[in-house]
Amino acid sequence: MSVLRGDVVVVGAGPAGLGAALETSRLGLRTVVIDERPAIGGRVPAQGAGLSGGPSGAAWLAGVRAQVEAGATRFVLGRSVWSVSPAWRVLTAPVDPTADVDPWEIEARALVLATGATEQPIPLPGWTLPGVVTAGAAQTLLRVHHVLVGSRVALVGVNATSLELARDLAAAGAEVVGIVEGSPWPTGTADARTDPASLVADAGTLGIAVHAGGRAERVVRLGGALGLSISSGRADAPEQTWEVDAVVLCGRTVPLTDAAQLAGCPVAFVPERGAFVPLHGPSQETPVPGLFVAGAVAGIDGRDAALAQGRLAGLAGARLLGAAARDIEATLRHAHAALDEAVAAGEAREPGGIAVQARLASLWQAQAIGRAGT
Amino acid sequence: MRAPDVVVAGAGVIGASCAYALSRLGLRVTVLDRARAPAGATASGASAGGVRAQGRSPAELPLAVAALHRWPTLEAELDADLGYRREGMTVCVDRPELIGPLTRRVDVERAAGVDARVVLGEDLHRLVPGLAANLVAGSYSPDDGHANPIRTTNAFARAAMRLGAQVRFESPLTGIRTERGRVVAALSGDEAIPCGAVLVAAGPWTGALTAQLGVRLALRTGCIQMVATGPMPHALDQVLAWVGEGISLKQQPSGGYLIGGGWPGTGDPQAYRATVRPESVGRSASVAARLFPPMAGAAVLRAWVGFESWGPEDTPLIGPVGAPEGLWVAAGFSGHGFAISPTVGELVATWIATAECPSALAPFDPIRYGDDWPTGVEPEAVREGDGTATRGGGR
Amino acid sequence: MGEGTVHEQRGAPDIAFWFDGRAYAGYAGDTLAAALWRAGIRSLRNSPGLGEARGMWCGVGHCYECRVVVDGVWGVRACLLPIREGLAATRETVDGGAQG
Repeated sequence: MSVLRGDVVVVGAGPAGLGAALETSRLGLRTVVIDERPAIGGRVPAQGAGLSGGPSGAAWLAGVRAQVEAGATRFVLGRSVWSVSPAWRVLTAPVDPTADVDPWEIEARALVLATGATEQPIPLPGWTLPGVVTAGAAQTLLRVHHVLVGSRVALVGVNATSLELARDLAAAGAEVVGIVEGSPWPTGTADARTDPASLVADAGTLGIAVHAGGRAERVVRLGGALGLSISSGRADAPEQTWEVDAVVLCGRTVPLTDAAQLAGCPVAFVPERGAFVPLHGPSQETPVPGLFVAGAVAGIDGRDAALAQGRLAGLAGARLLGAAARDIEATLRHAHAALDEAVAAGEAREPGGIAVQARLASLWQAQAIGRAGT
Repeated sequence: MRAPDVVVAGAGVIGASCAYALSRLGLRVTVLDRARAPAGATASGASAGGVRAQGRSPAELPLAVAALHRWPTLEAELDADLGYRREGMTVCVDRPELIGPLTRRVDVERAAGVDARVVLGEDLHRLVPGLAANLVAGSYSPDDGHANPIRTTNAFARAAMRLGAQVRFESPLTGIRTERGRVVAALSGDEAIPCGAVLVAAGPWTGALTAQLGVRLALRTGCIQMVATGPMPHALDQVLAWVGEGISLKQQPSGGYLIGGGWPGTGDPQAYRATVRPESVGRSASVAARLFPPMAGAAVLRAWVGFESWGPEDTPLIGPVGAPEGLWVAAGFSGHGFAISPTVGELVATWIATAECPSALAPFDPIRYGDDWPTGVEPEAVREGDGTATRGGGR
Repeated sequence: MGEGTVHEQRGAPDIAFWFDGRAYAGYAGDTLAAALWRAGIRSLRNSPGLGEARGMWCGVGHCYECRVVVDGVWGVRACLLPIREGLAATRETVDGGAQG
């Protein structure tokens, strides 16, 4: 069982992890990036072109990949991180048990956690039936593997994600029976404040039926297929059942904080995000020395903002390790500006990100004061 | 609020059991805990949940036998689901030269009223289908079993509260006030709680509390680790232990395996912070698979650690410390206090209430070793084991 | 639509793998869960307590609903496992005694 030694280890090969690796490898630090998936990019390859057009995830990633592969980053893919101890010793295990057990252990002086976010379930009765999946699973099937999640599909959760997915499923040949609300809490990532009326209007122009006023109540087996029961919300109208072979539940995301907590990083509840987020400062540093967080795990939305945060974390880590170039401070200022720009651009698409960042900043200041007082 | 008769420091399984038993006798009890025991790096939280008479010091056998009589009705008594299973336990050896010590231990246990017997060769493998072929003998008791230590601790605490006890979490015992050689109050931060007696059942943190009053206890601290796997088909009914390899193994009703046996974690008890030792995870899982091959494909889901207090010769310190009057301790259960917790609680409460020492507790005088015993963290000490070891390799 | 539609012409899938004793074929780059989904297989295991059919849910390796047995090792996530020639995976076996 071998030990792989580096200067910086990055957990997660999504946009934030890639951003960190771009900076640290450029500055000559031995950089190792670990990811459970068999390929880099995180959730990005499963992303489409968005409701208003723009590059697909695959196209966006192609640009970043070229830069990353030009550097000397070592990628360790298809491996899970199961232990994190200061400072820093990361133990991994292969997803495929028949794969080589090495590198078993990865050691580095700085750790960047870019572990992303996961979709919070919408626990309708029947949500565990085969054929009921999250938006992320349906997106991965469609865009990464070219597989339709079903031939007759219902989506639960009215938000930008479900609209875009419904459009793309229909374009790929699936029959999209409709989209209906169904979650007890706001769905989407930062888009709880997105005007539902405008989403419904968008859906109309896309030819997708948004079942206004109704609510998904449960999923049942209908012979070999599935039935999604919809209540109308009106006493005089009975429930109807959509017969489908796949139900896609499109909920909100929450940061995956396990690795951060294993590393001893405190997490705080951010009401504007509706989730627990690892405590971090303006350069992605955490209260734990040598530990940085970036990307969706740090509460941010969008691949551009995640990439910018990753770059910032990488630069901050490099500065900590003393591997800085002469112009590190200027580079850091540019990185901060790039992040602010990305957050602002994201705000225009889906409001809420700026409020999340403001809350995180005040939480960081509060803990800094608290630590100074002890 | 009237002043309590007894303040118990420590809401782990021992403290909670004592609080319940004291409350049943009509005494007013306040329990203080620094955090929210059994949560955190505590012995109760990291207990493997063994409920057994086998494999402990002979001095503890009367306690264990009495406890095993109580366990089958404890769920009804506490009105709680404790996950208690009495499916037997087999302690195995793989070397013929260990059969002699095993047999001698079983003889001592039988003399004390434990239903244990030695099984050899084919009989062993018929008793435990799936057991690895290299195990040659074992000691088996049908009355041994296991329960959920966290549920049990909470059940004792809730039962005590139903009888009027007060349980204060995030409220540590910070000091003890005495007048004319008697305990008069327990201190928790700025507050002084007048009381007739203080019972310190705070595991590894017991010694520091009594040291404030000049009472040095022969306790040392260990840090142990547990591993749980994902669910597998049901293959193991009893608890297994492998002497010499220091492994204990049981399969929970939900299908996952629980691997214990005293594998060391790592941590700083003064900082209340313990961390999983990754080597212990891998090695304990592989030893478990060598003991019981049907679980070999199980995926390790999680590991957790807790600090334990160990007493002299791996036996606890239970009783009054003498001076000051009214100061009691119950600690040092050396990684096997869970099984006897109902009886320890009952007897300590009786002792406090009647001032008469129950004979079963007589061997555990807290000051019997004076000042000479070493104290400190010795996590590696828990890894020893042979056929006669009081630890018996299982928990 | 852009690249990555299901109408893309790729030829027949040519990587042979096994699930639960039956042979299937997939494309290089497929995960086991995706290749089985394409073949119409949605149920990958039965839950230990009630024996309910279960399959992929989160698709990113977080929830473990898609777990299968590979080479005797349990808990292998089909949504993260790339297929390869000769891969043999099986369902977890349901046990009526494992009540939860």
